[in-house]
Amino acid sequence: MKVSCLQENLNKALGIVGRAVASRTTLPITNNVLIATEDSKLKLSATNLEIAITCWFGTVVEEEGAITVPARLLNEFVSSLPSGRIDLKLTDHSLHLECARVEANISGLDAEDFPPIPEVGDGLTYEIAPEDLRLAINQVVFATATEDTRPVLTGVSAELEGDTMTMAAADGFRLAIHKAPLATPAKEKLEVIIPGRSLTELGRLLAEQEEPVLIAVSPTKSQILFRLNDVTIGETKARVELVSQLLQGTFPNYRQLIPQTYSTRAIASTSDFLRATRTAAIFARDGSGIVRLQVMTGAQDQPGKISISARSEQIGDNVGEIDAEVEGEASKIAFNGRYVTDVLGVIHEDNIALETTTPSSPGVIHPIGSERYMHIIMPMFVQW
Amino acid sequence: MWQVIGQQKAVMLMDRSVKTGQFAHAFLFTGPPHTGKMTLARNLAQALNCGSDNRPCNECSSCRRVAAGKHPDVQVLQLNLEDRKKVITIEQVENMQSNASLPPYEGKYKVFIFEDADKLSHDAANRLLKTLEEPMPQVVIILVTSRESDLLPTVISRCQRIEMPPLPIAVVEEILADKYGAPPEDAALLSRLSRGRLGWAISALQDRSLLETRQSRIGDLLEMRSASITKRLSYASDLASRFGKSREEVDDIMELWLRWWNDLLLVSAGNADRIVNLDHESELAEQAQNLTIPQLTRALRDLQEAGRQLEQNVNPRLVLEVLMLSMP
Amino acid sequence: MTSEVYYRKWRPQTLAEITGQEHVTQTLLRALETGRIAHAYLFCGPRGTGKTSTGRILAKAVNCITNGKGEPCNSCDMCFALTQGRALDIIEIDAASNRGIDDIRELREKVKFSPNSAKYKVYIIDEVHALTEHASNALLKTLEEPPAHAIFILATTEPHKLLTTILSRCQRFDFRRLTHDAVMAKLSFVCQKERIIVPPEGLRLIAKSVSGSLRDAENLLQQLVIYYGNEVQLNQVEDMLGITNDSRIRQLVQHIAGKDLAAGLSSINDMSHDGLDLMQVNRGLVDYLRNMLLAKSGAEASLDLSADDRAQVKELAGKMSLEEIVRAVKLFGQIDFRSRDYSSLPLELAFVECLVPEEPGGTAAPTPKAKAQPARPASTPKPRPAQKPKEQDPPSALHPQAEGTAESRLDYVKAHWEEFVDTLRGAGSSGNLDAYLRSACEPEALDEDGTLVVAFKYLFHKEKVEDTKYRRMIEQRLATMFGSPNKLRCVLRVQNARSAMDGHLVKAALQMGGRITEVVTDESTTGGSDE
Repeated sequence: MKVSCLQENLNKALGIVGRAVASRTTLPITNNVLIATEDSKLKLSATNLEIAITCWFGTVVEEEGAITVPARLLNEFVSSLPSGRIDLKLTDHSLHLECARVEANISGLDAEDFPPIPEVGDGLTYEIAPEDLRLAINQVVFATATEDTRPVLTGVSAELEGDTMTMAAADGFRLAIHKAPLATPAKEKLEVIIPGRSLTELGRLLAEQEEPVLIAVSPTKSQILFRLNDVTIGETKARVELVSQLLQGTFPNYRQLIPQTYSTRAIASTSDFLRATRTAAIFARDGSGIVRLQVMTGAQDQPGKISISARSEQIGDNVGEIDAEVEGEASKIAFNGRYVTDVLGVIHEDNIALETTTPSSPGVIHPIGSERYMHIIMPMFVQW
Repeated sequence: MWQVIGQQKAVMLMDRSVKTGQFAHAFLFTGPPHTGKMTLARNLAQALNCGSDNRPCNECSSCRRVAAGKHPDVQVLQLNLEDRKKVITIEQVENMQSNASLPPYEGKYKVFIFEDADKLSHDAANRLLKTLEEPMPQVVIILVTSRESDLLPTVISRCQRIEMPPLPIAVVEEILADKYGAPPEDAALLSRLSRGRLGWAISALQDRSLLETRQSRIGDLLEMRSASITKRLSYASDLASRFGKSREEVDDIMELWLRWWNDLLLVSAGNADRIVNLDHESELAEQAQNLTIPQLTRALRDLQEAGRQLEQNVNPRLVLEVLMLSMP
Repeated sequence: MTSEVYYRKWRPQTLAEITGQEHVTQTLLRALETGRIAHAYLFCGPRGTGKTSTGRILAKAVNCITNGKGEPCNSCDMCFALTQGRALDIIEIDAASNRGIDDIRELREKVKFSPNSAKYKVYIIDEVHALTEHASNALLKTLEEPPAHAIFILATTEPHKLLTTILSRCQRFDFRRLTHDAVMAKLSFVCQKERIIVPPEGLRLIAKSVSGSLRDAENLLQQLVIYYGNEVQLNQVEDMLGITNDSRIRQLVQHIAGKDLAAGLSSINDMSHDGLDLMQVNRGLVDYLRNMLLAKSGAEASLDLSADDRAQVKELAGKMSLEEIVRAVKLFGQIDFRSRDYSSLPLELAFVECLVPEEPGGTAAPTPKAKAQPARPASTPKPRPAQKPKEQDPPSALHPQAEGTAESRLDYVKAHWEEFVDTLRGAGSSGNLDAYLRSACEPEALDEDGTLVVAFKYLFHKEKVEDTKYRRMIEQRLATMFGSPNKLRCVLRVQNARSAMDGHLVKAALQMGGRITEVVTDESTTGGSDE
């Protein structure tokens, strides 16, 4: 192998695939990054056997070849180099690099032994706008479970059907549902569970792209591929593919959990609500994070209110009030404050609606002016 | 091609399991060391992921990588030697579990092989129970052990238990002679010494130092039989200090003593043709003349008891001194 | 795709389907029907007796939309979601994996959330004995004041490891080892569903070999089917189980009766060389000897044997005295196969000792028929450090449940001491509390107030055990296992220790020409022997 490319391009590309390099592993070669030539491009791949990221970008290829070298070492070395041209050459079992007046040899392992990046093949394919995908990930992933007593809950359920992709995450205490439009209608319905971690990584890659993201799923539904055709690295555009293992199992039937009616509906400013909840949360820290909401109806020209309070036997207590447009009866409900701040923090619309029925039935929060998002929080059991 | 020699029952069972697709998600391969348990475990991992008709083919890329320990879907868990830990830890099991929650990376099954499953710490073993009972589909767990009694009964009960006992001596003898070209005396002696553990017999055939060590140990034994008390005591303390460094070595020596006294018992009780130490027939016959059967059973009981006590961490020096002094 | 193993595929889905635990299922069913549901249940019992299955059914029953009382309907959305393991409000926790205080604290926080869609949030906590002490205490707090919407089902194979305070908070159900008939009934059910044909006698053999664990039995059945296909013959079951042909066992018994040392040893060696499973051989042998015992003691009516077999048993029994048979049962019954090294030596030894009683001076020599023996100083105590109390045990089957006098209770404790010590396995800061008790002490006396006096040989062990933390732990276990004693007092038996420790050295000194001139009981004796 003999190729040359720009330091800034190589550096950025290594940063992208580096996210998939294994940290603790039983297969040592997965600490390495695969460097290979392909169609007069340089291809970098890394996999931790859960997520694999591959990046192709333009270079001058004089001689074909492939090798794997320790990812961290290469990354550190390349980022320490001045910008400009780097020459890479394969000699026996090591990679020779030259840049300006610096030379290095990094010994590597045979590319043959690198775990093949899963081929997704001609399975089902879908397309979605990068911005829509990013918003969906952002509004849903945080509600996945972190511990894996039930692995499916660490993932996001994704259903692609017609012209909509529905993503949902639930950890047993909250449920986030986002419906995003597909760029082209789905030919066939797809239901998969994608690990939350994989979507977080995908979210990082989604930035200023314009071309739709291609989604494909292997026939056995073991892997899902996301292809981004125009990721900016340095001065050029690169193709990046992220392949993730899919979680196996059945996702809870979350539609059953969506309350069909409400007895109180309060519309309030997202930012006011967020600020008041954050304040209350300070006082809720040692009381299981319990934040109490009381919705009060307005009278004549007085607007309704939501009072947001927390108390702790040791620290003291706090009450805040925000204006709200209240429909229905007065109500009270207690939530874990963090769950409320989590959801309010990802809603970009100015106002949200809070819908409740009884103190022990789930509360619903959704943005006003968008039908895409709905978030359900289980209340906590408290003595009022 | 299944590469395990002998063990027809175990091999047949695996073969049928793979062919019919009816197999358990958790296996326990149990039997003394050197009976082919790990070989069978690797073979099963190969067979489960092999694409050919005659699984495992041992030739395709998948089979070769499993054999070389480079297959992403086949993981062998063993003692972490770098950490110098004496157990398989909870962390190892946790990592395995998070790995097991995802589908195979490239193959058809994720296979986890616990080499020396008896080394699972108590907590690690408990941690494994749920996964053993209801793992994700496409996950197969194989526990391998030569000390089944150290495993929790709740662990054993969640596995399909496959016993790989020692082979009949005659079979080992035949294999040594026919497949490995061992001269008849070697085949006879090694098969008996191996107690049916083919793997040991083959390595002893190929590595003569094993037999040399045995000879020198028998030399010690013979010397001790007529040695003064002082000498016996110093031998005991020598053994005790070696025990501190390598338990296995002392276990082997105790085993050799057991076999020797067992041979003496056989000779005394009219079964001279059954002895193991064929190359020391005359010494055995001579010694047996001066010993009564109760003396022999007592000596054997003492040896067994000493072994048990060493296992229970009684002061080794004390145990070995008592043993050396009570030997007739 | 792995086909699902039988024990998962045929996991019971209603209380009525739970095999062999009617005492549990009846009570639960009545409670469900009358709506008297507890907030905490404890299911104890050996592996494979249905604890987890019952827990899941109970979780379903309380949340079933259709029935709401009694058995779950298994067809409503809730039951369905639960069967598939996708119901959010039924939380199965593996205490072994979440054993720390933080895990339980987290659980305590989460319990406060109301259920998503079910009536009750049900926590099934498996292997609950694995919780650390702190975690157990934290769990206790939750059990003390559970929210109305929460039900806890704790399951364990080792209830003696639980805090008594936890035990007292739960409604406890003890699952029993299944009877052979119960195991057979479930196996027949599976056979019928899977279209497998196994002769009833074969099923009985399986049932007999699994010590009451249904899961073990279902595993064996599946193994048989994989190996032999859907039609299994009796001899194939015997083969799979390694059950030995009766004739070889009978032959061995003949050698015992005929006192034929050489022939017996050679037949044991033959069996070993032929690759027979000696553990199974021994099991068969002990069974056979027991039958002889029954025949000899006039209880032949209770022999479950064919006329031919019965005649043979009687004939052989006629050749031995009752005492000899008892002795044989005892010797073979005591063989410990736990180390499982496939050696024929344990059988050989038991056999030889059956025929040739040990010399006098040994530990267990009932009828010394003295043969010529080399001279040995008769007064030498046999040095045995850390003698295990087990050696004085009569066979456990003949042991009466002790009640009444302190003396008989002490005997009972002694007889079960090793079992007791086993329950402490893994306890203590480094998990070796049992080792201190096992090798270093034995029960010595039992006071009327229920204090067990335990004699130690080494000060180090005594001090370790006397540590309040450990002593309490041991006392708690004592109470669980024996009722009384439930208090512990440790003493040091220096003289015993001396003779055990120094006996061999004294003997050595004697053999080297030394002479005992004076017996001194203080520290200086040690110095006297190392000339």
